[in-house]
Amino acid sequence: MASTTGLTGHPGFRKAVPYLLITPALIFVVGILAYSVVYGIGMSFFRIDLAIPGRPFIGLENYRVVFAEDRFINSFGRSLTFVFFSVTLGLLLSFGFAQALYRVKKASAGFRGFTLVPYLVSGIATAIMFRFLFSGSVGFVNQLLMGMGADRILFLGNPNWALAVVILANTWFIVPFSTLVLLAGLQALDPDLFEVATVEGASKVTVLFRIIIPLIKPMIGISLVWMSFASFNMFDVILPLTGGGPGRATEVLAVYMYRVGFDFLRYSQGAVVMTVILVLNIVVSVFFLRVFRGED
Amino acid sequence: MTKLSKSPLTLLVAAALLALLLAACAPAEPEEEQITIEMWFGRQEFVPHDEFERFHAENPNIRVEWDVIPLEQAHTDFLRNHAAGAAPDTVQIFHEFTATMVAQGALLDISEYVQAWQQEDPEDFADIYDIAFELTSYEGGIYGVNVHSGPFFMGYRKDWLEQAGLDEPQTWEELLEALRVLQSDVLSGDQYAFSQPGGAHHPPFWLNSIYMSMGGQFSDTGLPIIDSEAGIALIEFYQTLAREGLQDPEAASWASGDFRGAFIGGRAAFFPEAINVFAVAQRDLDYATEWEVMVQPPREGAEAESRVNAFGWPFMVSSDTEHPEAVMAALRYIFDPEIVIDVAKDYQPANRASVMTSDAYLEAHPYFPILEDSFAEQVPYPTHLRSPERSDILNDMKREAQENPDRSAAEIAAEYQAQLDALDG
Repeated sequence: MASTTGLTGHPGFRKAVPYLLITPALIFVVGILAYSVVYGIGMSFFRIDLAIPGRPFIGLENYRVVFAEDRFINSFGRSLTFVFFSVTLGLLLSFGFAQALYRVKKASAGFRGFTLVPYLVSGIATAIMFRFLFSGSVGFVNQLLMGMGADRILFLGNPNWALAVVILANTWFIVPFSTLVLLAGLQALDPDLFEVATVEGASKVTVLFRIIIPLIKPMIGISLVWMSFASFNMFDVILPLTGGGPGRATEVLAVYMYRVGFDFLRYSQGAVVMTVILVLNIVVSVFFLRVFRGED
Repeated sequence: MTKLSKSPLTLLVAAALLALLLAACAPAEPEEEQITIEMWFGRQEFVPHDEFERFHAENPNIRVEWDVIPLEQAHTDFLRNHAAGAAPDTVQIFHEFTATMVAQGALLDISEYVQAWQQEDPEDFADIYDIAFELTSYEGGIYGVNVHSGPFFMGYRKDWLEQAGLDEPQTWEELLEALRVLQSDVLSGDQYAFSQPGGAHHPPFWLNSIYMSMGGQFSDTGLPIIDSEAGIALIEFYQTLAREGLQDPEAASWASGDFRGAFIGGRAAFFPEAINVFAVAQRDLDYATEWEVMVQPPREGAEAESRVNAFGWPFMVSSDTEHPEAVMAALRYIFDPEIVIDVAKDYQPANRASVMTSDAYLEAHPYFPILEDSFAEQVPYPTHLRSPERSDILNDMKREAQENPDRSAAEIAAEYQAQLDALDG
């Protein structure tokens, strides 16, 4: 039997090792992310506007100003619409893809890797790709439509179509990771369960709703948290794809935050929008995690 | 007296040693201070092609260190660095942010150095267009040097105009009529008479150029006076384009690349643009046979008020610089005809007469003689403390005009003038 004497053999030390190892990562995350968030929230109580010298404390004045702006209200509504449709479509697609991947036996690792490709493509590349797909006369989709004798559709020039296109582009980005999360949930299930259920006469629909979904609920929750989080923060695809337009049709909160903070140089009001996005993310995440809590 | 009976050789050696000692004890010539200045360029293309090699040889005590910080973020990065006491000595910005940077006390008034330049080398100074300093002036001070600027002119399909039996339009009214004729008689399919970008991706550079050519004026604070004859004419122009289908219906979502592509790709007859884009156009279209350039025309009855707008990327001097003379030397070097010609030929025009009329420049830009007089008379698009918001309002106004082509232009003008005026509050 190996000796357990000395510090390294002490049970307390062995218990502490994982925490010690995780500490650098923790410091890194807290140091960068938490500092930025706390500093950003702090900024929202000051007037930091590059058109006006000084940075006095003004309490909730920035919140009052931002909440009264039509443009904020519009982007808030656009964000909710954008997130709702992105997450709904994203969940359906990622669940379908996860089921398909679960059944793939040959070269399954290759297929799983391939699934991640859209997630690994940069936002600007995604935007350019979707612009090529959906632009007016030279876009692939319109070429296809016109080839079939239909009129071209102004996908990026029409407010509703433009919103649909950015939802599609966002879904393209969020689905891969969500698929892998759900696939992990499916692979953790005991295959005997399906066999027994089938022998007992359960239909495929019953297996899906009575066995699979209840058992992978926690993974669905994590998947929804990821998709809603990524969607509320989505910015790098929308800006080059539509610039928030036409008009303000695709100006979601993250794009509005950029405009206020980095175009208008009203940093503290940009921080207000950041705080709103943060609160929305927390509320929605807590909601999903509670609703999709696992059952013992 | 043996001591005095030294040989002449001994005396000579002693004298030499004494001389050496005195030389060693003499105060040394003060060494020239070594100066390092840091410059931020907004694009790699603006960097002198020799990367200051000749400057360093001519000024061994000055070292220029440079970096490229994209124009889109240069003003904010600079202000952040300035607040932290780590600003570069110069920064290249979109000129419209001058007011904001002056308000933050981040720029140095270099008027005295500019005057010194003029007195020291009047011939060189006379070669420089006024816009080089007008564009960097704000409330009585000069804060930088505008080496390059890009006024907007107009490119058009000469072959199509000839096909329609039309001459080059001399006013906006004639231009609009030409657009109608081209659209109905010459163009087909997805070809449109006029090409311009939408408003979501860019500030309204193109709108401003049309507004100023129509005689549009600005308030003392730099806000366009839209509820004026010129402003209403501008709104009516956009309404007509939309109502009569003279531009691609998708133009509202276009970025600059889309509308330029429409002209260069043979899908548009007219496009308001700057010289650097004309250089791209002539790679694909035969200049003087297929396409031509013109100065944006005046509005009928407002010829005297018509101006060519200037939009630039000046080098601004930090208020924290410790070496303004060295900074000015570096800026003068960038503006040196032998240096600036390379950037002018390959990228953006320079505000120097000798460069713009040189054979080398004209070979690269054969259309420039048509634009020369207007280029020399550029008028600044004014800076404003709320410049990005001003841009948003103007883009919104254009969109409103194009989505509601039958709404009263005067009503639209009044609505958006109120929004603009609120920026001064």
